[in-house]
Amino acid sequence: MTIEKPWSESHSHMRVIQKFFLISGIFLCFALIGLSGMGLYLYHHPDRIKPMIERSLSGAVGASCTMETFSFSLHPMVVEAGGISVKNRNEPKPASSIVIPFIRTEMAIEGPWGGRTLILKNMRITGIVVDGALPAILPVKKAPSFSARMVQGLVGLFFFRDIRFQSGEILDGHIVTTWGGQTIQAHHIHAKVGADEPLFVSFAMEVENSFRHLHVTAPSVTLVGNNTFDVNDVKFNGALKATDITLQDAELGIQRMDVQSTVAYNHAHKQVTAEKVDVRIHGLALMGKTDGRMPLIDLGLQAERISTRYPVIEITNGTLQIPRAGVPRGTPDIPIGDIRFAIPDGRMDMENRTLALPKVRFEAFGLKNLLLAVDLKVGSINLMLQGEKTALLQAAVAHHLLPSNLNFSAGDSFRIEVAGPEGGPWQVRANVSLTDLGFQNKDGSLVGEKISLATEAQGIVDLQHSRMTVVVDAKADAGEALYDRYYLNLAQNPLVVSCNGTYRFQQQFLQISRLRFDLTDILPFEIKGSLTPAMSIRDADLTVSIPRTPVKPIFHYLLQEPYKTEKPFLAAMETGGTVSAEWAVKKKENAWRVMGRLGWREGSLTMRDRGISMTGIQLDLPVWYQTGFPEAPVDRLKGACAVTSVVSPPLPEQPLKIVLDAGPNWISVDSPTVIRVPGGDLRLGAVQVKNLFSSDVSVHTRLAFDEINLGSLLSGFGAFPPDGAPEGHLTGILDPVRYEKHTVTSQGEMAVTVFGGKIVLSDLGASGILTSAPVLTFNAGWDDLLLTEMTTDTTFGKIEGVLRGHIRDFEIAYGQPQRFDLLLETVKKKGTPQTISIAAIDNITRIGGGQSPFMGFAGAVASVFDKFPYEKIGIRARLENDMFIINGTIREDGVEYIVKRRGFSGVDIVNQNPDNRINFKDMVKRIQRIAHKGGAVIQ
Amino acid sequence: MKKEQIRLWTAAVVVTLTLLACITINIYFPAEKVESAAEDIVNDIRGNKPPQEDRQSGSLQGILRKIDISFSPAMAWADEETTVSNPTIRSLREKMKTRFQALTPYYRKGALREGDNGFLSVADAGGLNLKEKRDLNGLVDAENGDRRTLYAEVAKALKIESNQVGRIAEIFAKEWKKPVR
Repeated sequence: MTIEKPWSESHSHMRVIQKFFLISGIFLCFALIGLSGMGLYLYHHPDRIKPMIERSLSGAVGASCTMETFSFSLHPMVVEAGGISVKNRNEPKPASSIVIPFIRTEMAIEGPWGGRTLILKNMRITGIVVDGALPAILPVKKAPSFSARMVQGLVGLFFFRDIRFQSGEILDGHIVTTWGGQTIQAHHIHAKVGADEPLFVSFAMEVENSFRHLHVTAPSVTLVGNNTFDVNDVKFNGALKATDITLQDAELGIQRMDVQSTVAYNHAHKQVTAEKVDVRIHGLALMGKTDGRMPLIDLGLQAERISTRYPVIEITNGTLQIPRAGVPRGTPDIPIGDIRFAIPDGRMDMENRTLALPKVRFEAFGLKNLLLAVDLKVGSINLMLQGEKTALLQAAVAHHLLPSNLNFSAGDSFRIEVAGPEGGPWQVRANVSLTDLGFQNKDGSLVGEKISLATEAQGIVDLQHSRMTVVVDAKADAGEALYDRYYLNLAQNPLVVSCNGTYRFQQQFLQISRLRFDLTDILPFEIKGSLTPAMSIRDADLTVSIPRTPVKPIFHYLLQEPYKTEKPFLAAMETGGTVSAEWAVKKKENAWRVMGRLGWREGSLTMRDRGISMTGIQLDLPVWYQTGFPEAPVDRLKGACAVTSVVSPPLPEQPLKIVLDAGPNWISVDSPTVIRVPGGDLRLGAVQVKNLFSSDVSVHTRLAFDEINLGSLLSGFGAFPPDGAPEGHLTGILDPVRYEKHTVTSQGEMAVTVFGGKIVLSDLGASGILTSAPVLTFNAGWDDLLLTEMTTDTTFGKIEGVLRGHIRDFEIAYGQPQRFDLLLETVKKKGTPQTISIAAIDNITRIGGGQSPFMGFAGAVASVFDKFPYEKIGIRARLENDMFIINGTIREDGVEYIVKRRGFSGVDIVNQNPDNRINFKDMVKRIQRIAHKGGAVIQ
Repeated sequence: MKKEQIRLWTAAVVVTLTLLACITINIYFPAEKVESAAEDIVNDIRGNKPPQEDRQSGSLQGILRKIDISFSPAMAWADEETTVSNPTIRSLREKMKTRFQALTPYYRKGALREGDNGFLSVADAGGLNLKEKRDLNGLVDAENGDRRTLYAEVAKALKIESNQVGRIAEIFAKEWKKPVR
């Protein structure tokens, strides 16, 4: 069944609908009329629209927005406004303001109904001033309100939906903002962009940070785009150029920096990419860590690409160069150029604070082929530096870490690893090896060949405490080295060095816990203490010690082998026992002091070829070297030397025991020492050695001879056979006895009672001690010597009488007389006959250069007599330059007599040649003939 | 005119004093004696036979030398019987003779250089190993030590002032520089 609605009911519905449309139409008409009217009103009264716009803008940017003037026209569509001010004083944003003194823009609407676009063109903003913190200035998008959305919908429906910026310019803009403590000011901002022309921006910029004393100026920054500018999709491709940038802060200064690059900015991706980056810095000053001593440095940075997409910066194919410069380090300067870094790729994350530079090749400080890997992560640092064939030694020479007078050649390689937390301390490991190391100085006195050296170091660097602790082990176990006379075969005697120490950077203080040098199988020694500063030692406080070590290799390598050519006696010398030492070494400014002891235990010293030996040596030698130290911890150092057996022919075997005292540069034996000699004792007085460590060393002592039996002494020295030596005694005191400048001098006399008379020796001395030409010197005078005792039973022939005379300036070199001036004269003495045997006459004549007077008839006559009386015998003989001059001292009537007869009997020996010169060799032959023939030649 | 005369007299006095000064220097340094001693000593050490007097006397050099001796102020020394020998010099000569045998191979290798100052130095030790260099350094030092003493002894023998030892060394240098056979 269907039920139909009654007609009247549907009709009434129709009428309601008609009424609704009618009312709506009327309302719409009124609204349109109202709007039109309002539009016409506003068109003719633009000042009434200004508050609306102010409110709209305030709502849009969330800040108070006012404008002083506003005007517009529809034909053409132009809007002008003046005195626009946007101020934000609401929390949480900091206060900020934007002032636009004047803005004018032309507009056009394009597009179909409902999708129209408002085009802004030829916009001109004059004198914009932006002031405030950067986050406050940047607009904040807010969710639009309902009414705003209604207005946006209506505007979009009737007027335009989008706004597109087509062209415009900013003239003389000024921005002052703060960001991260920096105050950034941009002046003279000029920006221009057009429909067919790229964006151009130029400005001058200043950055200030009063806390860091930072001041940066960039008077000329230009950005030139090469694409059209779309305000809705901001992309920029162009070139950046900034010149004459200056920077100054507490640690860094840049006199001038120029930057040039192509720049691409994509606002959607928030990415800035710089390509062909070229940064040139002139006059970079690093003051912070260098006390202003660093010179100004120029550097250049180039990169194929630097891409920044916050927070990541990536670099591709970057290079950094620092041309040559010199760092003053005193004299001379340290050259630090050329430094070149090649960075194939690198990545820095500013948010995560990471930096990765996996393969940086660089050359710096004269070093080549260096490879650096940097891996910085949050809170940790990992660095690795390695190199091979880096010219390490040449660089060390250039930086005066090694002597510049040495030429080096070596294959080198090293690897240094640094790891640890960001703020330290860092673990450091380093390996350095040198192969085929060769070095030589100019005069060839220091040479090394084919040396292999391996060094391993581990340490902890603590920059917070400005401290580095390090353990170093080094070994040189191949090659040879020569220093002056000291030769070392490192394959046989490797050099092993180990060191524990701490270095304090700020104080330049090196604390050596233990530095051990071990010249294997020769000499080990250890050093402990401190040095300040470590590089050019001003102050030092060290302890140097040698543990108990056999003396034989030390003697062999450091004394015997080096000096056996100059001192051949060293070659036959043998040593035994052990030595040890401990010295305290102090340096303050230019003053040095070395105090300590050298010990020799169970020692022996033997020269078999000479029969000399010392056994059972127990030496405790005090050592005190000092230059300019006013104070000393003690007055003197005590020591001792005891030798069980001293054998030094002709001295009898005897022990030796002395007490030693040492002071600054001197050593002494205060108590006298008795030395047994053949026939008695020789008393050596106190011995004082001064200037011990200089070439001006001097020795001061005295010698006392107390009734030494002459026969035993002379036979002991081999001058006479034991049963043929003259009897007598030697007594005397030489005081002082001095040794200075290779010369021994003495004062005092030694008296020898012999042959019934007395011989007095004086001015005993020696020159050329410790040289290749030692010479013994003395003067002697004699009196009352009985010629009978001297000549009886000698091959010379018997002479009776009393002899006096002297020998002056007597020099003996190499066991031979070198120089003398001899006077022999007989003197009459009551009761002593004066006769001379024929043999003696004959020998005197021969020595004088004449023939035997007893030849032929004279010989026959003389054979009747054994001896002749004489009045006087007088001989003067001089030796110089291997030439004897013999004269008689008796002159009568122009005749020079050597032997003057008594009365009419006897024989005169006359020197016919007053310039009677006899060569030394001839004289030796004559004496030898006399010594061997056994009697006079009487024919 | 007077001024002219004064100038002439002044010049004459200066020239005379200069000549006298020259003569004085020559008298007190017997160069001929030193040359002779140097030749004798070096030849002895090196085992060279001394040059024949006759051979030289006939040569132009010999004639010039004689003329030089005749006219030189050193004539005053010619009559003196001063020999250059004493035990020290003889001993040094023997030592140096022995050492010369050890030095000869190094001379032949060109490792040694005779200096103008009369002393020996290592010239080019490139062909030697370090041990040989060490030994050579020792030989050179020993040789120079002996030469130093020798020059001083020659000075004493010829009564030359010790401050003239350098000149003696320079004269010896001419002999040392002669090639080693």
